[in-house]
Amino acid sequence: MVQISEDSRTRTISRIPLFELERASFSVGTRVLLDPLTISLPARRIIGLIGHNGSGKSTLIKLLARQNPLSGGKICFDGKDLHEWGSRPFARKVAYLPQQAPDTAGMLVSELVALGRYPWHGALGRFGLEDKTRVEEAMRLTDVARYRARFIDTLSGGERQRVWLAMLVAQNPDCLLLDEPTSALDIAHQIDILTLVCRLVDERGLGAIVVLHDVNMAARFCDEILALHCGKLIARGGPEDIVAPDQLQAIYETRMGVMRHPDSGLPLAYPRS
Amino acid sequence: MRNRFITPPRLVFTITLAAIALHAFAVGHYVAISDIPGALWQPDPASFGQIYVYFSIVPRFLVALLAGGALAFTGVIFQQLLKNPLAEPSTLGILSGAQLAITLLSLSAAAVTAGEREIAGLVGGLVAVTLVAGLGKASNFAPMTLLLCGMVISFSAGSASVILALFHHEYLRGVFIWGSGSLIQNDYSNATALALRMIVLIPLLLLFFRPLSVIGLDESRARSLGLSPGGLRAVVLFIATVLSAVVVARVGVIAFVGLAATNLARIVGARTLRQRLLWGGLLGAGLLLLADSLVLAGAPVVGEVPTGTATAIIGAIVMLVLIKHVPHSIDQLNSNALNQRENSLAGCFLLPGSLAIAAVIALFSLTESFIAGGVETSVLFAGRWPRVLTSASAGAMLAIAGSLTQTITRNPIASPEGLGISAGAGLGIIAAFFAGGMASPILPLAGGITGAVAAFAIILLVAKGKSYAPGPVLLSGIAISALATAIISLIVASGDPRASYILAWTMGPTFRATTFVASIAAALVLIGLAISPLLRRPLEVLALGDSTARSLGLNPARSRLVLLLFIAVLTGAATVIVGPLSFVGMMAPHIARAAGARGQILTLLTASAVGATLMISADWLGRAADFPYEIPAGVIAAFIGGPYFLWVIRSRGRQSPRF
Amino acid sequence: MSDARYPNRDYRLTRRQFTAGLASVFLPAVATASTETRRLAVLDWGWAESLLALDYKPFAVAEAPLYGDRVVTPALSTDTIDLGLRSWPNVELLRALKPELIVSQAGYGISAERLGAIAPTLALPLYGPARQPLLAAEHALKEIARRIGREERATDYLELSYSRLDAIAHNAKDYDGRALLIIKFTDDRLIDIYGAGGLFDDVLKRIGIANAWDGKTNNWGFATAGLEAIARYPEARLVIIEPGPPGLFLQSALWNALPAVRNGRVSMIPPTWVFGAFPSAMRFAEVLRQSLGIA
Repeated sequence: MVQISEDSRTRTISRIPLFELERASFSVGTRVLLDPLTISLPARRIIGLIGHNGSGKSTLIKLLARQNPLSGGKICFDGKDLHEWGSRPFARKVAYLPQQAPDTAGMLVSELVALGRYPWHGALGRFGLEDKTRVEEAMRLTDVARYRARFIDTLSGGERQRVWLAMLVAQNPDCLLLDEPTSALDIAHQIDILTLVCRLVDERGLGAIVVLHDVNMAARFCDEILALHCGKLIARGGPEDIVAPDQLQAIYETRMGVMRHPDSGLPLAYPRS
Repeated sequence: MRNRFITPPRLVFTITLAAIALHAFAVGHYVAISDIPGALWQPDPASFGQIYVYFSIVPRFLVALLAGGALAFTGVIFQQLLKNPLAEPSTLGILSGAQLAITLLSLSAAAVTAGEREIAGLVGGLVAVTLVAGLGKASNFAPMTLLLCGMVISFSAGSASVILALFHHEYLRGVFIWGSGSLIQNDYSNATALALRMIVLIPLLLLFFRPLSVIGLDESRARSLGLSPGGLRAVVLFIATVLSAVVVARVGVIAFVGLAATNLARIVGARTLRQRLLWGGLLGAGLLLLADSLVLAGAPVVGEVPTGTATAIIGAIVMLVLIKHVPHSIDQLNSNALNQRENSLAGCFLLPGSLAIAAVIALFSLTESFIAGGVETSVLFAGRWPRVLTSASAGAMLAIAGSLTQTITRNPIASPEGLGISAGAGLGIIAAFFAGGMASPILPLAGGITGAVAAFAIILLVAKGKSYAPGPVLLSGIAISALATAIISLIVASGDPRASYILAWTMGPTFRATTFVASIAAALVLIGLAISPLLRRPLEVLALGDSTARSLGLNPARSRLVLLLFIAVLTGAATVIVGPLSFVGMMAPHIARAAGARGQILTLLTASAVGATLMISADWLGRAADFPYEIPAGVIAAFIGGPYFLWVIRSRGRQSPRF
Repeated sequence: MSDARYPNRDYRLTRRQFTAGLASVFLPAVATASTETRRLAVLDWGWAESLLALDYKPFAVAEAPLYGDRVVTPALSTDTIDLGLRSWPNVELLRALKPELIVSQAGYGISAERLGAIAPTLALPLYGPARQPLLAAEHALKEIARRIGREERATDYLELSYSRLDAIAHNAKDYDGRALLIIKFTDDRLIDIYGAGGLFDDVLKRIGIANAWDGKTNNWGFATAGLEAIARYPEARLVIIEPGPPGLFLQSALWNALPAVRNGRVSMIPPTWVFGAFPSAMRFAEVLRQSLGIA
């Protein structure tokens, strides 16, 4: 099945699903954060996770990233149950960017990106030629090579996010899991980052699952959108299917209207109440 | 955690009932049951038993109630004011400050009246709370900062008291008995004094009830509601400190009652400020009464145990249990950016430079002959090299442990002493002595390492559920350290002639080092230094946070566990040499970073050179300052380290509001 | 330079004294019959007083200044060199002084092996499993005497002392025969009570007066308890080692309700060093005799 979208992107989709969830759920005490979810997530596309605050999108992506343990059900990555993956082998396949950027006191850009090679060389392994090459490539792809000798905390928010993405790229994974990579950025940088993600998916054949709070960004950049509401998956489909007034009402519990973008023709949502 | 079955009134009732039952049991030793009413009302002057009940046990009962209630009441106030569920007079250093002041007073005057003690205690307590609150304010009252400050002040004041005890323990035995918190009474004077002061101070504090409820919100919100938080805090802190200091001056150091009572009240359902004040206070009264009744009932069997020691032991255990229930907000240890210089040119010269300084100081210490003039240098050297090598090794070990601790707790002022491992080692050393006497130096070494490992195991148990996160680990450290302090007070108070010998052992007598010990210490340092570079990558990854670490394929919990083990061994060994209170583990990495060291391993290596220098200097000072009396190096280091630590917190707080 | 620690003494190890002590190392060894010039470093007050009882001056004693306040007699000369803490004297100083003999208490402070590396060491036990410090003190005295060549002196001293004790024991028969409780106030609430295994108890046994305290005692022969412990022995006579409780306490109801106090069975004795050796024991015997009104 080949999907052709409005702009000139074409992407073939692999038949082997990236993630397979079977009644995967997560609860804390008696509070259920994610209801049992059975779903199959394909590889090599950008999948957006949207929903209101507390709908379970962060929870879901953390479960996929093995950041939180499952409360019930099971998740398979690349055909193998998550439990069966070792820490470093999994890290070589899946890279996760948390919502809170951690403190990077006193670290140079090049040092942080180099840390992305950890799953490959481990605590004691040599940092070899392959590692160096990957790091350079990652910095080039994300256009942070010119900052290589700067301290990270001296960079702007947008530049910093790109550095983090560079680290993830250096990890050379098959899949990127990004938890709200754009929430703290201004609009120019939001577009900048998501374009970068698109490029990575195109050029490297990665899969990406991105939590986004802005449905319009999701519509513009994602191949497929999953909408969560109160811990349940309530909608799944392409941008055309999701960005429709009745769907948006169900997702965000707000009256929304939809219009067409004057240049790209992509659907654009706006609040109506 | 709401258990509908256990409500605050029921809890208070049960505890009080148990306490009264034990009291009745104890009283039964002195007076026949039938005579009790008579004894309580009008004792027969001919019967010592009745007189004793009337003049000693009843006032003791009252004092326990009053003191416990007051301590818990002030505990709630401190917790509300400082937004910290673990604040109370002992964790804020007020009790140690008061004790130090009273100790100094007792040294300067032969006989001290209770009134004079109160004033001294007040001064000491106020100084402590001013330091803590002032430093806390600079960093916006971050909970862990307050606790760390309180701990440092307790340590420093405690080490000062201990060093006084080392040389004057026969004069100070009385002070240490008081310091251990014995509730024994001879008349109603303390009970009446306490009651009078509480009648005045508690209503005064209650005047501030409404503003206090509001202050639970953050500063800007409070101000927008028309309150001046700064001024309010100062006034209420002052009054609450007065009340705590008064209690302490009359009764001695009773730690943890406030902590246990207030948190217990919260767990069983007291939620609002009003409920916590009421039920916290009543629980405090009941708990102290219960503790004292246990001591009283157990006296014929176990001997005289000061109630303060009992509460410290029970309280430390309670605190270790409570850590599991501490709200997550206390875990927010935001470390802000360290002062980094753009050019790492300094880095090239830093390590060789610090090594050179260490070598120079070592040489000086080995060969100086200011006091012992006229002795051949080679003889001096032969006698001194074990202690210099031992000091240097211990300093380096602590520095390594400190660098690692600061990295894995992501707190630039964390210290391995705060992990409680060194306190555990101290306890192990004491235990070894009472078990085996002064036979050989191997015994305390073994005891110290066993104690360190045991403390480490406790930390594991307590912090495991939280994947060894920094907050719980530091808190368990505070609890274990408080335990160690209580037991040391007990030893000095007991009048055991070995007290000064044992005391010195726990303070770090580098002067007792033999060539054997020196060799072991040096070997350990070399091993530690060899292993450290292997840890570089896990350290760097851990520094990025748990989520990122997991994403990179590193198991944060397991890595921290391994690192903690490494830290525990190094700290345990170092403590046996230099005692638990030296702060070198905090100072050395900090100085290294301030001098420009960057990167995990360079900082670690530079810090070990700095640490070695610090301990060699402390060892020399200990030798030279009061010749021929030796002052343990660990204590000297603590004298410098405590204020240094406080200064660091202050300057960091000033730099950025977030801490 | 005066020191709050030693209110009765104005003392500090001055360079002058130190070098004087050191200089004596280089004095030609005077070969006389009297061995006065032997340099003895003593680490325990009990042994220091034993030496003094043998008319022998130790040239260095640990915590020498404090000795005068605690042990009092036999008096230590003011130019005795201070060696530092009794629990850990200054090793460097010891080494520098090159003593001919070090006398220490076995099992306390620096171990005999370590001391042996500095100079010949005599480590004598005072508190052993036998729990008879008086006997241990006697053995120690004899041993010390043997080492310094004053065996005769020791024999004379011991003979005199024992006959004195016997005399007191004989006269003590006129004493009303009450058991004694020997106590010391640590503060106004806790007291140390001296019992089995301590020096005072041994002396009491020797002079035939009963010790009322039958409770447990620690290794050093005393127990710490509150006032109610005294009340358990209403028939006993209280012997308080000065300083006693503060004046205010003496007027309190609790104190005056004690059977011993009510019936006027209280005696005070001046400070005596309970952890001492034979001379302290003799001193205790004398002051006790005086205060009990025995001839």
